Amino acid sequence: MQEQTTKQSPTPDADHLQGSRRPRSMRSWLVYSGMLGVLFILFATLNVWLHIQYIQDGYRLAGLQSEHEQLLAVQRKLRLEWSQLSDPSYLEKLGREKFGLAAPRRDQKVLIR
Amino acid sequence: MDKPNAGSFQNTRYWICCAFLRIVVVAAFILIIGKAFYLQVVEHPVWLERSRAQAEAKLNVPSYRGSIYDNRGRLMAFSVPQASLFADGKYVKDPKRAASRLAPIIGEPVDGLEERLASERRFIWIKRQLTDQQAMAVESLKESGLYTTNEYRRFYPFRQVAGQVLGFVGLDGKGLEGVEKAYDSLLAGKDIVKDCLRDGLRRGLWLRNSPPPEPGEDSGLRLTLDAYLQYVSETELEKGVTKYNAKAGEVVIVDPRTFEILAMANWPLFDPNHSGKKNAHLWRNRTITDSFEPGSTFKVFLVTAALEEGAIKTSERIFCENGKFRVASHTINDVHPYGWLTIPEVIKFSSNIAASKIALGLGSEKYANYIHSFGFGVATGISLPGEAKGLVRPWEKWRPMDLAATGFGQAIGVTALQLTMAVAAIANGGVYGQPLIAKQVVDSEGEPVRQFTGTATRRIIQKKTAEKIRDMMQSVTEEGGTGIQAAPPGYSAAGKTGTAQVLDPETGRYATNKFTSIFTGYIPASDPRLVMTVVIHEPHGAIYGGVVAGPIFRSIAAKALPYLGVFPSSEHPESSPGLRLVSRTNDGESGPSRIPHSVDRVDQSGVVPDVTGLSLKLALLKLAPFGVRTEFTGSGKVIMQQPSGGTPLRPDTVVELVLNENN
Repeated sequence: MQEQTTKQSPTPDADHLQGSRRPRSMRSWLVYSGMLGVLFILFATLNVWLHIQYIQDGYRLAGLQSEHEQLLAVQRKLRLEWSQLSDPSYLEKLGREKFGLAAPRRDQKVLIR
Repeated sequence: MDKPNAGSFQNTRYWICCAFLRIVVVAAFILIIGKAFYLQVVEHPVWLERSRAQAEAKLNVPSYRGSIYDNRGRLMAFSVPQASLFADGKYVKDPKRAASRLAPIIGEPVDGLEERLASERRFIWIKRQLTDQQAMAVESLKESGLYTTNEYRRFYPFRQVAGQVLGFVGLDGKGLEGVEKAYDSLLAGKDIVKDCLRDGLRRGLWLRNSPPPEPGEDSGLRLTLDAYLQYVSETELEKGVTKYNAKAGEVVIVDPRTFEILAMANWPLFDPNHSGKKNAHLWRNRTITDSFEPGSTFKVFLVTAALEEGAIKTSERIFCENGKFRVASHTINDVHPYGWLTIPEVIKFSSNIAASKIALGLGSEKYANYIHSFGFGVATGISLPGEAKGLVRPWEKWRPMDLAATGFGQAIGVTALQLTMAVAAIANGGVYGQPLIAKQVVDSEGEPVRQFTGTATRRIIQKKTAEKIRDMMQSVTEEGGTGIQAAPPGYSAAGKTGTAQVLDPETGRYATNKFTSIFTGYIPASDPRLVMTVVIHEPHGAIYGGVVAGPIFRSIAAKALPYLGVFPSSEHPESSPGLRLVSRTNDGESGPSRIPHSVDRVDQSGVVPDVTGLSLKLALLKLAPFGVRTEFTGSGKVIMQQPSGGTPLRPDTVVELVLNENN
């Protein structure tokens, strides 16, 4: 027992050295763990932010696509309106009522060859 | 205190526990890996299918119905998206309130709306194809259970122009009449089916390399119709029908060189934008659906057939029995009693008796063959629905009076289009062709993709026969002829008038007070650009074709020909005194695309300026450039002038002015 005790009992200097190595390695682990934890939190935050951005971009894109479809529909309706304005009966009515125009009489026509 | 020996823990129990834990952990991982293998390899197709069903979708985007254009590319029929309102019965919380808010916007009764909204059905149409204002008003209500969806609505921007020819579509976009029906499969187009991804809210998700589909048009149609000629025809037809308080009228204009239909006018008019059932009597295109007895216009074909067969010569004369001729137990009358008429005079003065004799001389079989050759008794083959064949009884059943009557256009039924196509065959020198209404298939930009061509044409008479008939028809529109009102100034027209009695369906006899007034012909006579038939049904106040239909022919031709670049000759007697000659272009051609070198006044002709209201000094200054002699009485300002302003000037014109200080 005494030999075991003797064998197993390190020198006071060795004991001191081992005691300071253990707290240092513990601190390193704590530091590394802390850094990992911070990194994890940062990445998690980034991930969430990206996800939110993606969703918001999706909304914006859907809104733009909807607006694009509406503008195409408006363009089509404007083309229809433009065609209606070239209706011969509408033009004649406009010329007659708004501008006081009338078909030329025979003696008002000049033939140019 | 002694520390326990670490080795004392590594006893059997310890190792058993470790072994147990190892086995458990390994087994657990094997289970996990095995399950993963099972899911990802063995059941791979199943889960792939499920993920695709969740994330992928097929989007159906309907195409717009193809547009319809006239021959110059003007838009005549067009589809636009229009919101339609529907309800989901499950989500309508208060049907009564919703109905009372909705009714004034869409113009429907509250009770009916409430009943529909109270239904538990998941899809209830409320109103289809709302106006833009109605759609905005409905969406601003923010009523639960009410939704809008886009459907396509057909519009006809030129309103009633060519209404019966274009036809219309139903609520579901299917063609129901006219061109819309005849070319429904071409215009309907195919839906766009595209694969897309869906996000968590099941909305379509479009990636950069897979953009969202835009609804477009598949194929459109360009017609042979000219919208301006159509409009002019309808306007002049309406004036004529209104003037004579007629029941109905038709005008058909065809290009005899290409057999393209340039106009098909009907009166009453029809606006396909308002195609409700209450307007059903206006839908049909009478130019092809309604047949009538052509009257004296048919003499043209009789004489053509007789000349072609050599049964008559143009130099022959026929005795017209002084106005009364008996065939079997019937008496044939002429409007005016004639003695001897030459063949051209038979056409010019339109003698029924002479026509009967020619028909009887030609014979039923030969005459019937020519009638069929000219396209009567069979459909023309125009690609429009509802075409009638007309009425031509088999020649074997003709009695002598039927043969005689057919000679002057009774006892036979024709459509306006048939009559026009037959005259077109004479106008182009003897070739009969199928009428064309559709010119080209076009793409969504209006560019031609495919051309329509008619069936093979056939020669039915020789060119020289056609020329002889042309001369005869031209005399109809000249002095002494029955159609003198048909030729516009400056142009030579060839045509034939017709005034046919109308059969009364109740009595089975010809009515004494109902007539069909017809004028058919082509213009200019020497180089025909238009063949036109005008038909007026049951006019009042006047009945003769030359009086009722002839002026309509003239009015339309006077506007149509300059539009087509065919100008009147300068030698015609009704030229404006202000007619000015310009220097010719290098190649001597004229027309809308030619720019003259210069404009010179040939003479000093002009018009007298209006100087009333001016002082003497100003009036003299204004008259000075015209070099006219001026005489005046009184003082002050001009209160009267002779000749008045606008009167054509002559070299010896003297302008007399009366002045008064009190003016």
